[in-house]
Amino acid sequence: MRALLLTLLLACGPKAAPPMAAATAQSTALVALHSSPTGGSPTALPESVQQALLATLTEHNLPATPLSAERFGPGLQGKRLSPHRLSWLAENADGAKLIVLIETEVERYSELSGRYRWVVHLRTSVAPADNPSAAISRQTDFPVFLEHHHEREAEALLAAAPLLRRELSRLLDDWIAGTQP
Amino acid sequence: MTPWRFLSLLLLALPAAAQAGDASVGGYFRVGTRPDFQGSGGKLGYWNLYGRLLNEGPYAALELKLDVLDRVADRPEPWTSLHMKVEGGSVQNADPMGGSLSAFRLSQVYAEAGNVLLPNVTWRVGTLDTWFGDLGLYDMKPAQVFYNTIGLSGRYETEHVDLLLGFGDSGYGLRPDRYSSILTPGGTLRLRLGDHVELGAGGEYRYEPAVEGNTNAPYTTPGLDYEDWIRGEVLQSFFADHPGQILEFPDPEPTTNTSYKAIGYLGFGGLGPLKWNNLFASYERSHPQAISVETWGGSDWTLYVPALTDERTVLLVGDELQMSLLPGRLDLALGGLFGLHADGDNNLTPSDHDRRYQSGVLRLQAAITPTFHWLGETSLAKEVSTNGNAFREHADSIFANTEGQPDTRGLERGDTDTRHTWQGKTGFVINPLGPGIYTRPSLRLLYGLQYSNQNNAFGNTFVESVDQYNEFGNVERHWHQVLALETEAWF
Repeated sequence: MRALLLTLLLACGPKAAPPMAAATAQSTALVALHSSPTGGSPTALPESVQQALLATLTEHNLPATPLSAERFGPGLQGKRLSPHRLSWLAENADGAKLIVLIETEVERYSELSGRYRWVVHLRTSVAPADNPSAAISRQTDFPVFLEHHHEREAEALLAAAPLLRRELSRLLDDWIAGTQP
Repeated sequence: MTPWRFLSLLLLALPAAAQAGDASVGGYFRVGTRPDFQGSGGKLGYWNLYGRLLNEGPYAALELKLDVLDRVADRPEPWTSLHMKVEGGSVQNADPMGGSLSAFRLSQVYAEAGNVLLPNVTWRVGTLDTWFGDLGLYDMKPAQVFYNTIGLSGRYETEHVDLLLGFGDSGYGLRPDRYSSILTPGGTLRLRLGDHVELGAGGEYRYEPAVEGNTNAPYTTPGLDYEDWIRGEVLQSFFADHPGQILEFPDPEPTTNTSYKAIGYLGFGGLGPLKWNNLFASYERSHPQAISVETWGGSDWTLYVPALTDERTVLLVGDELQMSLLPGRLDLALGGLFGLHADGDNNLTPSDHDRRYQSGVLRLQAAITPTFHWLGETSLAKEVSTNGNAFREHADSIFANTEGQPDTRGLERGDTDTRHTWQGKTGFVINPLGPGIYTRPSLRLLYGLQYSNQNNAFGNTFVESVDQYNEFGNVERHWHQVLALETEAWF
């Protein structure tokens, strides 16, 4: 009886809308980076976050290859603006048709009623590799709440992974809807 | 550079930079209803010792932050931000205060600045409240300093070292109605030993100097007898011995009050299913009480009582571990708390300053779906009054008193010195952001059950008198249950 009720409960629950998929697969170059407030070259997002973003791209029929931090770090050193970063990425896309740039910064807010509040600044951009100036972007900030003092930027990005994935998915939906005939 | 010069430079920087201000807001709230038909005030038990779940009331906090000068990567330029926090425990229709703003306070106001004078140092002027971490199951901060202090602090922070030094004044924090300066220096040091271990220690010292002539400064009335004071009979005894000699009542003498608090912390985790374990400890010698007031002969008499209240100490040790038993499916949190309050001046009567308590809380949360969870929690607690009976086990406990005899001059309250409490809580939780025992927001439907050897061990308005004029009668009840609909969120 309980199993039946649980099954009914799950069956009646709302279903997420399927992501919009590109009509034909388009190879994609992905750079997902984090800029530290203490400076230095941008670094790659944690591996599990990268994997979540790659899965999102795959769902949209955009098989992607991530550029490693060893490669984009020196190349993007000193480039803080998205147009400059997109231009660099377009030149280093290794033949991909699409470029996707995920830029994050993480900022500590304060200790707040038992949690450490951090703010993740996110800018997501998609552009054709042959015309990076035609990029479309979404920019948003959202808070994440960490439980322990020792948890820093990496943990904040891990906590934000579902929201990063959601933002990327929405942007890709818009991109695909706008570029399909 | 003096703190005042530093502050003036900071203030000078504000107008020019305010145009670049980036305001943001964060906050927290919990609100709900807990109907029961046993006469409680909406809480399962008395306090957080049994786990904060179902034992706390509504709460809301709002923190505003203005980045006057942003931190910019790669640029060691000065940055500064302003913070204000308003918080309180009342929400419309959820408690007797009805959401009144009088239940709220401006609890934190401070300005922070960095890349000024020293690298990796954050300067703060304003409220200095800081702590090593929280026991989430208890909603407590055992390792906290500068809670009452306004002043200046500098925090030196690197990947492995976090050193905070500060000083200020706790006068208004500790004595809001009778301010006198209480100088409070202190600090904390936290070390990160690799990715799996953290250590911390710190403390604060409070010094309230004698200031002759200032009526709010510390004084002591000589010759006070503790039993007379606790009974409220100091004046009665004096005038019994000195009939009509009103001018002979001793004048207060200036004195100096000191107190301190030491805190410690050990954290470790990231080992297999163990996510993290926090162990906090603190030992505090409480700041003495300044005065009490007795009425005699139609007049209020102020008694200066530091000498009767300067031996109060509190030892508090708390631990909480979090484990992911089945990642994304089943999480566990286990906590323990031990407290020992002692008052070296009092060996006569039970009080909150003479008690010992310990408890354990276990919470499990299972994800039925990523956003729909089951929650179960249980706790066991023992509280002992170390100065005699403080709890009533029975509605007619007068008949369970020593030899069943009334003692109108007795200083005990109740028929036992020990309270045992068990609580169990279970229900369903909606977590839109997914699995995790502390993932929020949470929307909860919970049922809670408590057993205590104390009669009616929850906030209530029952009549306890057993005299013949008690129109409402007495109730003997040791089981208590509530149903809760509540939500909790950080934003």
